[in-house]
Amino acid sequence: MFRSTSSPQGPPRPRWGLVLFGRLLRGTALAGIAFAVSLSSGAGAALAYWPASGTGSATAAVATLIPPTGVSALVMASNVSVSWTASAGAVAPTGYYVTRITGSTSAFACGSSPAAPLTTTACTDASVPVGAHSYVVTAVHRSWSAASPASNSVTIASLFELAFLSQPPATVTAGSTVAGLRVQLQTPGAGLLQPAPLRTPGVQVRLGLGSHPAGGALTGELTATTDAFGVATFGGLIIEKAGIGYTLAASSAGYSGAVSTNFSVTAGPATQLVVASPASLTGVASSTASVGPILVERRDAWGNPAVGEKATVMLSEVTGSLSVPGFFAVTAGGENIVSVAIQAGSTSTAFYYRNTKTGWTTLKPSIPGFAVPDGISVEVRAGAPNKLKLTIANLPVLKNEPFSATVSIADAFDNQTQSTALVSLTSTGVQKCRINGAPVTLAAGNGLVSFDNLSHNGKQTGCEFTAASDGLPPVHLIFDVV
Amino acid sequence: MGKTAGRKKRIIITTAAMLAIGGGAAFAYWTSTATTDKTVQSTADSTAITISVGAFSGSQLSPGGPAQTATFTVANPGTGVQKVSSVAATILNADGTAWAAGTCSKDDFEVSTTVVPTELSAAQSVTGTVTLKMINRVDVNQNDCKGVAVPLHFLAS
Repeated sequence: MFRSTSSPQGPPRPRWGLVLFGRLLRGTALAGIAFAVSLSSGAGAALAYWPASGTGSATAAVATLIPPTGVSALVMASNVSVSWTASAGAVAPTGYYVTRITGSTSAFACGSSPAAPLTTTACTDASVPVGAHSYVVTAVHRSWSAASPASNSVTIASLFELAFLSQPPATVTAGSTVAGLRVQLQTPGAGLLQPAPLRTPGVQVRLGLGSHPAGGALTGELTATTDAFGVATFGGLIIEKAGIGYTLAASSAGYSGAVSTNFSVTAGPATQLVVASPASLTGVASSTASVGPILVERRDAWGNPAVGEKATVMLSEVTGSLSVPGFFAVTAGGENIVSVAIQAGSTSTAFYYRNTKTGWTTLKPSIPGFAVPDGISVEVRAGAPNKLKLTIANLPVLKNEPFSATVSIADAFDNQTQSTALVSLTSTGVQKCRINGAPVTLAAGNGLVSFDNLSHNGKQTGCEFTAASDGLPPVHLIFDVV
Repeated sequence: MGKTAGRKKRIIITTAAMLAIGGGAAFAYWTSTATTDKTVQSTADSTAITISVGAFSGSQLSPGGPAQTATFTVANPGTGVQKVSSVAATILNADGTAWAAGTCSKDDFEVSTTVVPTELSAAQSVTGTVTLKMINRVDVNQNDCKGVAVPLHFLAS
């Protein structure tokens, strides 16, 4: 300690200015060292390189599908020969489909459709109905299509034609048999001249679907031969897919074709219950019904949605990896139920599910007397991290023996989460309890972190661990070392 | 005693000030960022890296057709070392907005890049590859994708 005054008797002492300079020098040196240390530790990586950033741009060209050209239609008796020039360009069509345009209506021709394209560049539209028609050819390449301009118009005025003597019923039940459908050979009418029956036996007449909804198909006796009166009778015709706007088309080589009146196909009686949607479901562990909605539908034997009287759908589940069964509700967050109703005149109903535990389960709605549905697979996952759970496998801890502490990041219902958050473990017990290996911070894997190789080198009571993770309340565990 | 405390205070204050200056500088180095249209740099040495993309090769794209590839070059025009961790290519308009041509959008394509993470010294560069493929979406009409030019935006970080 320097004195603040000097005298001739006193021991020699440094001058005050030198003292100040010395202090300033030492202070600055210390600060400089601290600065150097801070740079070498905190900003050391920054001196190695700068994180780079930059942008660029480019464009890539997509090809196109060029439509066919030169579509030409030529009448050959009751048939029309259609030809076209193949699409040019780099993208080769996988095929073409042909559409016959008659006034404001259109129909697929030449036996082609988007699902069954032709690979040729010519086809014959056989037994075309009387009237004026034009044709459009559409090229197809995977999800692309390109339609040509319409062809020239052609008129079918055959000497002979087909006519439906009897029409299909306005409504047909799916899967039921339509019998007694009759098609006659005749001469076309002209002006005041009425069509006249053509009594030619042995002519083959074919029946198919004209207009129809997607997926519709006609089965049964699709070919019949005319009798002595020139009439072909068809029996055993079946359509299984419900829909509206069906027509039947009759055709025969050398005769103009005929198209029936429109009719509808309705669903048959309900015989089965299916989970219509979704195919599978994932939800979060919850005390309120939040997994859903799950739509169940009653259907006929051919899979058409079917109405009926009011029906009760029993709700049950076959728990897979779930430790406890869950609960059902009509609405999200609704009261617990064990069944749900499909009202009279309705085809379907919906429900929700909940479970506070994680795992897999299969929900099995059912109606007594109906075919048992496959059900729907539901996965319940853990909710958001809500708490920490701290455990030591073997208590009490033995002195000088390594031990482990495990922290799990759980949701509100004690389900282990998938969290990868950082978890710190700190010794917070009595001062004498100094745990080797703590404090330490580790990242969780799938909501779990294990702090290993901890130890204490003597007996001690009142040791305590505190586990902490951002956003979650810390958790404590008191233990003794023996 | 009081003078000792005063000296400690000066040391602490000086150290704190220098740490603040040093720390600030370090912070500035680590906050280099880039936006779609403009690259913002915090120091003169951390010049934005450049990305140049070559022409795409291969057949023009079509649903489920072969992929197109192009080579891009990431260059460091600055004077310091810069680290390139990744290069992401995204289908975006030049202004950073979502791109669409009618019903055709980024969902109709797959884009991926490959580049080896590296540290670029001054005037050094590294090349990578971008691959673009058109997806054949079953039951989806992709006719609006015919003949379009798909814009790709690259971001190196």
